[in-house]
Amino acid sequence: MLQEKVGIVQAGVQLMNFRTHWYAIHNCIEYFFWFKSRLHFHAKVGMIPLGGNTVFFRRDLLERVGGWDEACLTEDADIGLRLSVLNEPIRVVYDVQHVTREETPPNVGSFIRQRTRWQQGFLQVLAKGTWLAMPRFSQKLLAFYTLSYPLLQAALTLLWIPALLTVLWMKLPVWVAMVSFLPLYSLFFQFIATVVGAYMFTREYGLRFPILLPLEMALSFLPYQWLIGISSVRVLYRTLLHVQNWEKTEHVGAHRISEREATPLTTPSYVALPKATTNTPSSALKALVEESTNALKAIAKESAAILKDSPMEDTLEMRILSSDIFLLDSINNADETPTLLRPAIHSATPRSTVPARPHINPETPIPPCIVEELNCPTVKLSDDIAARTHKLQDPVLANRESRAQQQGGKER
Amino acid sequence: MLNKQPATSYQQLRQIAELLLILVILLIAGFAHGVAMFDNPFYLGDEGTYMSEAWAVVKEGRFDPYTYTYGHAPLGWVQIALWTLLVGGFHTFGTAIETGRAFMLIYQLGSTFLLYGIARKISNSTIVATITCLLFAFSPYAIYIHRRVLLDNSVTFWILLSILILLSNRLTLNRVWLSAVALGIGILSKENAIFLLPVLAYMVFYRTDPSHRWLATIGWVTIVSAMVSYYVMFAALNGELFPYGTPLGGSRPHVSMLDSLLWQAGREKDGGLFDTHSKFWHTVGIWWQAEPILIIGGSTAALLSILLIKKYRLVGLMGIATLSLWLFLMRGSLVLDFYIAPELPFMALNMALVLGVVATTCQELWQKHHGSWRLFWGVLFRGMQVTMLGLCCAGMLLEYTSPALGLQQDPSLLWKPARAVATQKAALQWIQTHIAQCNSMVIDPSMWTDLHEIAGSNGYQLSHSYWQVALDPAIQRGVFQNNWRNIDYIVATPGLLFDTNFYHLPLVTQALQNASPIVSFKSGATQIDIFQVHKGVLKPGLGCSTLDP
Repeated sequence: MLQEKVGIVQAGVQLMNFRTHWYAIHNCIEYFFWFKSRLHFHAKVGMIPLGGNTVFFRRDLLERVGGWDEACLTEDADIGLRLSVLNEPIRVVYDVQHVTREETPPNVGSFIRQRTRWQQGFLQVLAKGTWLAMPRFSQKLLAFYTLSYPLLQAALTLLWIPALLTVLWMKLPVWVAMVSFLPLYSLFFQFIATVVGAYMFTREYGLRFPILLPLEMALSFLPYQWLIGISSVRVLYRTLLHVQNWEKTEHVGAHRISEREATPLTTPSYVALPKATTNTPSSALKALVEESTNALKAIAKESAAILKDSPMEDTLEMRILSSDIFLLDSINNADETPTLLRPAIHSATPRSTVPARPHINPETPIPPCIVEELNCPTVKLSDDIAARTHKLQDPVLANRESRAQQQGGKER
Repeated sequence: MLNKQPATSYQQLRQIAELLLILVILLIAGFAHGVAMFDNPFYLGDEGTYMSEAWAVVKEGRFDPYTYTYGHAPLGWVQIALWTLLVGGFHTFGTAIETGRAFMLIYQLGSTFLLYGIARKISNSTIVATITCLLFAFSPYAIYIHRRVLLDNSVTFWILLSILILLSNRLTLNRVWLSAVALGIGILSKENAIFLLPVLAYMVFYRTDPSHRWLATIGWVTIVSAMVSYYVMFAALNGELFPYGTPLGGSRPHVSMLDSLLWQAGREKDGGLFDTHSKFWHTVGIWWQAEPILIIGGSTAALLSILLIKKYRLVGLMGIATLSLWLFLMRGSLVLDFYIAPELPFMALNMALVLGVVATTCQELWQKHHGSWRLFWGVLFRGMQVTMLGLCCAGMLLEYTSPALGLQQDPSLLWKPARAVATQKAALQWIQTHIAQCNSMVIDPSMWTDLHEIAGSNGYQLSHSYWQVALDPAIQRGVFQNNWRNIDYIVATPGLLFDTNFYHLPLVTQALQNASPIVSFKSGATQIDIFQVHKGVLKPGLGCSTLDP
């Protein structure tokens, strides 16, 4: 942000628990390609639907666009588009060590609800027409393609049945039949790319690539596409009935297990919050808030020290609404802005620009992670803080560096 | 800042100079290929076949005017069809084959340009790139083959394009996919390009960034395979993938892709590389006499390239590419002389690259040493450059006196009209002016399109190539009812007479035995006789007969 003078940085977000559900690997790889590859293209074109977390804005930009749209189901994508209208350069960063690690929805129902929300949100953004104000045709084209994709997805899903009936009962000219096979080819290519993506994903994160995983993926690939298809059809249904409520995705912390199993990140990068003293959800939350506030205050103090030296000290806006830090969500939900963030970061932004999220159910069950040390939520520190406080080596980074050294030695 | 400005200007100057050099090379290549390209060499039956297939694409929306037997994938002549649409028909440049040959000039210029790019990227030397192009463009045997309307010329272009894309400075995934599409078009133009799949797949792996090399390589292979599979699917959708009489082929008689594949693989089967009497060795005998520089020099250089692969990876890969194409020729089946076409640019490349590596080594030694050794290596380096150019010129001169192409008497023969072509044209013109269009004829494929595509009429609809008259049931039985009396005329070209005698083609043999020549066209060794068939009840003059039941 400082070095490249960009006002918006979207960093990587990565689902990690690729073995917990049958659909998890596809979900993880979708994130992998989205943040590692596709968003870079969006940034290059100058039209980017930003993600919901690990996004960094310069304050004046947020003020210029008037903050987030509370009514929108994908307010993150919406603000991305509105910022794209300003033609502001956007930097996308995907770094294995610094991605925000997340988990897949815990069950199929939750997954479908999440996808419905996103796709419906995209259609909302499409209907708002902000994208039409983008200066370049390429931006508009990409925006239209991206935002209207749920409609295409729904159409493709609804086409499955007539397509199968056609195969069984209709005799078509050969060239028509050949053209009709093209979508199947692209689907096959997508599958191959997903399998290779799974290999790349496991390799980059130092995870084991199970030998039977491609077979499992072959079996689950189409059902996964159908899940997304069902979501898109559901979007049509909800849009027609004007149902626009927020269906919150549950979180169980599954990614924490898988990430610790795979790449035991060292404490410098993550600070574990203290274990709750009681198993009662409400008191557990209270205790957690109290104890973690103290821990985070220390972090904030350090952040303030760093930002004090920065020329952008009072213009930096950090938005942390990640499900990764469910605690902050809960606090936000209760309309209690975490004081610990005020001195360094949050106080710089008018409250109005960071709206509370009234759609979050205040009775969200406390995830099991608060009573199990292994799954305890962690807060990720910035690079600088981590670097200043600890110098321990991250095994993922070390692994990558050694690979890079090996490859760098070869003739190119 | 002060130092930067002249450097930039110098760089710009170099770029302009290189651009001019490329233009000059293309101009030379264009002249070498283009002068007298319509009239030399003589029209080959295969050229006529591809033109007639392109005609079928344009006029009938199918891949062959006869039954498409899956002998070759169709994209080669689909490109020719597009060319005729672009230039406004099959007779824009004269005869149909001449229009096709004009397209071959485009391929030749394109291939020369791509070859320059490849040599330049690998060697980083304009001299090496120039030598490569000159070896390629001036090779008399290459000119002889490249002028002809052959699928091999199309596949050469697409292979070179695929490789050049892979040598991009910034090899993005989009470019990798583009390279795969180029090779896919190449394979669907002529199948022998598939022999390059392994070496090019490795090249993708080697050239792409480690962060996405697996995605690039597997994606590249997937795209190429998908394109090839599309052709297989075409056969499957037509119900012509499996031979009839098999569980998957049904009982209705039909052509089948697998049958054709097996037939092609086993066509005139012999021991290939391991049989000194094989067609491979026989054709090598022709090649090395006609083109000793590229065949011997290029193949030796390809072997040397592989020895250099550790230090000069791309040079080595080009050597492997050359040997991969040799594998196709050594497979122990039919080898025709023009099968060498895709090899020629690679052999030119191998030669120039290996010479370039030797020169670079001398240069490195020159830079490393001091005193008298420095002088020695310096002289050797410059000497190498002069020798390279000298070898190039001397080799060319040697080839232009080669008896294999009849150049020993007249080295400029390739740029003069061949008498055989004049004979072929005269015969064609005589038919068009003396034989009524309703007559049935057995013809050479080289004149098929000119007899079927006639402005203002439906052409000679009953004129059919001798292969189909003899072997295609749809023509043999469907049109001629397997009765030689239904044939009015036979246009007896050397090709028709040879194949009829060699393969004992039914119906055509019988018709010839009952026919007598009415006119003869001769120049040198080429003779074309037009036979009229004695049908028993001959009508007076050149009228149309009624088909016998």
